[in-house]
Amino acid sequence: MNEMKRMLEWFRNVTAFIYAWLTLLLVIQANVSNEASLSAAVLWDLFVFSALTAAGFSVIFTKAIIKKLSFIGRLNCMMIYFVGLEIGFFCKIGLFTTYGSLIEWLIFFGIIAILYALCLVIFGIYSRRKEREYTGLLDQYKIKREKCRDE
Amino acid sequence: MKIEIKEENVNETEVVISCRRMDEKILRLRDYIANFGSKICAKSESGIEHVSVSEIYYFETVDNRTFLYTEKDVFEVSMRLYELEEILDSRDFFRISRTQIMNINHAARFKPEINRTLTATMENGEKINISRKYSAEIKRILKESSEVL
Repeated sequence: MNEMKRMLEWFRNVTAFIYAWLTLLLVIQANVSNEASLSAAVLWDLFVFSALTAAGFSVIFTKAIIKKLSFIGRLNCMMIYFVGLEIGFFCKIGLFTTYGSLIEWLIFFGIIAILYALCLVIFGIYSRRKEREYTGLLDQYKIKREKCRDE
Repeated sequence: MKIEIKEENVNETEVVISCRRMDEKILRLRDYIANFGSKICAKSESGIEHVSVSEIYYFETVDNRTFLYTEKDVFEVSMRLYELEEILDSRDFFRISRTQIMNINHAARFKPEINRTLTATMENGEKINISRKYSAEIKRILKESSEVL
């Protein structure tokens, strides 16, 4: 039950986070390119994309639905899910209706490369945290064995 | 458990275990006493030596030959890994791959890798890889042990 609650909390928070950032980026882009307004349709598409990303993230990274999967397994699932979602989103906004231009493909692979780099950074942090945890457990085990030998 | 020590004029120290029934615990106790301060016969370039079990960092099989590693030296032993597993204390020596057995008492750090294996850094700085299958087992043992504490 706690995991389910956690998953829903993450879904809410991540949706809000992604949507806020993407909207902000869209406003900056509109300002730079001197666009007077943003259409409701674009904002809605953006919201759907944010919500689907957040849904995938919260399902994959909590134990509410996927009980047993390693952290790396979860990262891989997230990458595969997000690439599919990104392709869908690009089709929806009309970027992939034709073969696309070089810039469009560069944007697509650029996002994947940034995400992959981000995953490696996340793994680096996770790995250091786990190293401390396992080394702590190892030290405890050695102390326990030492005590057993003394007794 | 009642422990009694008698000081007598004997040539060799003798340990007698009196129990109602011989079970796994008793067998482990017997093995522990039998291997207490025990040494393993190993071959080095300078000849045959007896290496204390507590000094051993890990065992490794290479080309059907078994090697024993201590802090600085490498020796060859005549036993196979499965034979060593039978005589060594299973709470100190862990199988970490198809070809290696590690003495956990000489491990200094465990670091998880991206391929779900663990890298063990030994007290002498040497790094050994723990395969995916055995790293899960080691993590489980360490976690269970900390829960008992």
